[in-house]
Amino acid sequence: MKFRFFDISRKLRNSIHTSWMIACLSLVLLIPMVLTIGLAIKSFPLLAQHPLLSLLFSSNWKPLSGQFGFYPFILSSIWVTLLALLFSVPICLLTSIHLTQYAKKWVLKIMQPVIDILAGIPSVIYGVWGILVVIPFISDHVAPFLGKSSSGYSILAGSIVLSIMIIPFILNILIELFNNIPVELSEASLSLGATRWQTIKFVVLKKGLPGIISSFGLGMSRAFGETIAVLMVVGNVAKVPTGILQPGYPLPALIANNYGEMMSIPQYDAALMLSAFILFVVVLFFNAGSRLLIIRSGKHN
Amino acid sequence: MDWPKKSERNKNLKQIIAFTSFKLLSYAVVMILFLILAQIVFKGFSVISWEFLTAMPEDGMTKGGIFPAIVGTFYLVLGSMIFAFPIGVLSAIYINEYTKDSFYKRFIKLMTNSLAGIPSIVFGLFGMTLFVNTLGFGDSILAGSLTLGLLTLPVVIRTTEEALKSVDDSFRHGGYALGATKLQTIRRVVLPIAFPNIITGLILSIGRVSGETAPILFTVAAYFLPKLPSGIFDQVMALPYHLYVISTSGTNVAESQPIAYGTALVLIMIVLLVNIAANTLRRYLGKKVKMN
Repeated sequence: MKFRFFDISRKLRNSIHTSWMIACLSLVLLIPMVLTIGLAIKSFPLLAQHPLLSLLFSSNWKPLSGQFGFYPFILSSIWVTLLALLFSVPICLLTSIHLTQYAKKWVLKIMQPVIDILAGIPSVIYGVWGILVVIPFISDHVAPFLGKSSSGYSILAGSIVLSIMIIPFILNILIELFNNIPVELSEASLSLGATRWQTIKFVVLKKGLPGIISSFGLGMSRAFGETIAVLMVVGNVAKVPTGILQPGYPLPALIANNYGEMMSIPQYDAALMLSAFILFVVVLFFNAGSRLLIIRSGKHN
Repeated sequence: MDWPKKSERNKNLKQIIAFTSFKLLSYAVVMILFLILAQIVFKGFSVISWEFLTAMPEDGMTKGGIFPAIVGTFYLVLGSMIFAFPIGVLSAIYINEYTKDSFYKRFIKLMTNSLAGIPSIVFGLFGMTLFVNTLGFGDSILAGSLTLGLLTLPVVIRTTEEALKSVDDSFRHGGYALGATKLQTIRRVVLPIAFPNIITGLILSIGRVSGETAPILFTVAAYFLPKLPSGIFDQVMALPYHLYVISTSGTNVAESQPIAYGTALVLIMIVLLVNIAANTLRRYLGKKVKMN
């Protein structure tokens, strides 16, 4: 009898604790949904009055008179993100090839923690570094060199800071990717008389291509949502940027800068919620697309 | 004796050129890190003193210390961990040990991945709407901790999942063979083995939380508040926000620059210490588990 009782309590405990876990998991799964629905509901008042397309492509940003054109912000975000990718992609790709394909093992062993630390440095510190180093550099050297004048607070500054921030992020993914490519493939190529460089070009890069593209996609979604560091150096002027030395005003900076006054102006909070919603959708799109690419390419081989 | 053909020599030359440029680039990456760190360490080091760490800010944050910001960051980290650790670890255990169905598994994966990808500023806005306004917590440690907790949940889940995955199935089978229930097996066998890796992941997420600025902008951070919080419904200063404020909108940027360097150094030290602690702990605990 005693034994039986013990058995029941064991089973009971089993199911009680399992239900705890299910509760936690459903809470986690609920968050993205609540977030999506919440943002959609909150941005609805604005969408009810203006059609979405005119909001996205109008460059009139006058919250006081009820005009909300997101075009300058969206364009700034795209400029900063693409420029940052342009700087960081070659560096990441070549560095990761160097580290995984032909550097000595101890180099990667030293570099891995360095990359981890770079990835762990808070974004606000990159922002401070941008203000103290990048901005004077642009206003004193880059702008005069190009024959223009600039305060330094510009799209270029934002993208330089951003590119340094996403380098460790992309680098980590690429190193893992290259380490997972079977050695047999490279060995086969080397045994046919190809140099290491040819092997890398025609075997390693080809095999890793979907992963490489998706790592850039992930980096891009990361860069698109980055707030503080960019906000600190990009200038924050609500105009359509016409050059990389002009100040810009990306979407995250718009949200971060205006939370204080958003309650006092009608529809302003709906406008900020809509910009958060745009941010959310774009980031998720790139994230999901990149992951899908990895899964697809894994199935083919 | 026949020499390699011209194309042969070319291909070796090309290799040398390519590899040299790769090498220079990877050194450049290290250089960037050292340049950033060196500048902050050199300029911040002279600022940091016992007084700087334990005094209140004064004179519009151009003098004095950063004590309230350190305390605030500590509370925020603590609060977010109390929220995120249990939920994250329990979810990860369920995901890894209980879900079998591949559709359900993929759905969970999709959701946690999207959660991990959400920009921190969106979390901040969400936290403000939900915790500060709808639930009425106001700008408070509670609201800030919950927002930061949401942000770290996916990190905690992922690291715990990885740790559980690395436990060999034979351990689980051994547990079942001895008549243990699934829960007993997980608690007595799987978790102790995975523990070092789980704890490492948790500590690393502390490093991340202590440096986040965007989520606390709307939910907790105070611009200038030279006193310590007395409860979870108080506002606090926090290191990253303090750094952001004094380097952008301070009343006198030139005068507060030393403080900016000092604060940055403290923040970097926290992140570095957390990283080192995590690695040491993993090594130490890993050895201990193996001996048992």
